[in-house]
Amino acid sequence: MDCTDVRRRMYEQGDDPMDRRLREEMETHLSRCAPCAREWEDLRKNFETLGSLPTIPAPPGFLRAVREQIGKPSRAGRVKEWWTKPWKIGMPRELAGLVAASLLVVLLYHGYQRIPAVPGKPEVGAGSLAPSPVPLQAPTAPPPSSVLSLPEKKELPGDVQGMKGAPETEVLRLNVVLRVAGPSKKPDSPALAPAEAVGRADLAGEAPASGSGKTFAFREKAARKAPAPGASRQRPGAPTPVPEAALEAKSAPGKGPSKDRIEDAVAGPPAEAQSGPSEPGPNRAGLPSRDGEDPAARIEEWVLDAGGRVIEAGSRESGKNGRIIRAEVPVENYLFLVNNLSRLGDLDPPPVHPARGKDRETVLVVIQLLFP
Amino acid sequence: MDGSMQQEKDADLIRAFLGGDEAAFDALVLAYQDRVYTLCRRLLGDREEARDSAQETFVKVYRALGGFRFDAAFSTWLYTIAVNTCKNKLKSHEYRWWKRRLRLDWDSGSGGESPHREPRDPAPSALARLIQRGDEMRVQKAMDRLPAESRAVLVLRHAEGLSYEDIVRITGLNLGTVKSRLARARQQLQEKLKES
Repeated sequence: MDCTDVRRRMYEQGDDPMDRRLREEMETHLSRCAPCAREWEDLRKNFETLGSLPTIPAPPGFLRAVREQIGKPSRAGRVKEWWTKPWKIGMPRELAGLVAASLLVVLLYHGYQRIPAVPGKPEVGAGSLAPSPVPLQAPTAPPPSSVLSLPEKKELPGDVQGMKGAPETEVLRLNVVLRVAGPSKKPDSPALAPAEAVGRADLAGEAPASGSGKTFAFREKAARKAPAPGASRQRPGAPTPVPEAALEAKSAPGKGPSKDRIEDAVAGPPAEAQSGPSEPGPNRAGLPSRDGEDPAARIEEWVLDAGGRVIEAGSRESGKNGRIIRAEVPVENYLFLVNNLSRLGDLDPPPVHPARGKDRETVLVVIQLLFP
Repeated sequence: MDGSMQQEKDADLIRAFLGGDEAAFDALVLAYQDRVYTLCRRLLGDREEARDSAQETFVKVYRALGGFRFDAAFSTWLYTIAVNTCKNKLKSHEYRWWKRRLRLDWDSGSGGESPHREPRDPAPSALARLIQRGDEMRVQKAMDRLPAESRAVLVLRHAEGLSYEDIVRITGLNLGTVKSRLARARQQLQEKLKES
């Protein structure tokens, strides 16, 4: 038996009873081989040490801790209870508070989005979609690249109303009841001549509709209703002048309107501009205007200011007594557009679909200008 | 108390517990808490983890005692649960993270004190006791550095003094595997002790 055999048996059968012949062979080798004898001595000593390791007493209160743990339901028991007795789920206080707070936030958000907009009444909150006479804050317009990279116009379902239908790109229809007199019952009627229209309503303007050659007469409602900002500088009964600044201040796409520009537009034209006689002028969208103003043009300006684009301006919707402007605006600037539109007339803007507004960049807005 | 008497006593306590006597379970806990805690301590090397595992072992026993078959010793069954609980603990991510951090702390040098060591006897009365204590610590420290499976068989065989049959029952390994693993564990322990 050599050293390798002895050491292998040492480790394999060190503490086992060996048969007599094997034990004698090992003892013979160990008596002659000092290294193996030393190894065996160390191993035996370690066995003894291992065997004599003292029992370590359990920490105080061990039984009580075990009893406390037994009192708690096991994990499997908890899972089973969740399924069978969900009302008995015991949540930690912090988790319950977090869940309650989250629910509250969600409920508040939904309630906030569903506040009905009442035209003419002040909005309840800053995020309300109720129209505001003055857009107080310039919207954040997306960079020009995003405007340029807007997708091509999709087919607009004409019957989509606000949140209903939930199309791929949400279409929001805005019916703006202009604060001006509407056209005659029969716009094509020759009885309504431009001069006559002006004569009938001293505040009216007229212009040939581009492409159609039809004329419309308007009368400012604002003179009879609440005075528009800056109306105090006009003669009684004079039409509220259309803010020239809003027409002249062209904003580049992707550049939001500044607050100054907005305020200027609301404040109206300078005094010298107001004092001159108003002359009917052409318009771009086929809508009659006074002093060359054109609601469609103003809307187009606002759309551009909002970082959007006009898809179709001033087209006439068959069977409807008004004009249609289709535009695509960033979602975040929809409110800006609505606020500006409220300056033209009464409208009841639908809110952006709350569930879909967060993952969409633009909304398609169909603005219908209606005559009162 | 010899093994057969202990087994009879355990069986009586279990029957009493199954009959609705909760105090019988407390008696079982008190009878075995030190041994189970010691086993967990040897297997895990950490006081807190050993306490938690030992308590968890008794909680499992409480819930599973209804299914206990009296064909084996209660102690063997109890050790089986304790070893499995420790094995699960060793496998857990949390424990490995803790162990790794502890090793880093140890390697970075904390005054040469092992975090696993027992509190020093404040008044060693005899040199022999000191040597014995030193040897125990040295062996325990070497065991802590062994792989978990080697440590388990070594503890069960040499520290707990269990038979091969009991180790086979507890670990679920076959006899040949137990023997070969034990031989390997002894060799590894020797190497670790030489290194230290």
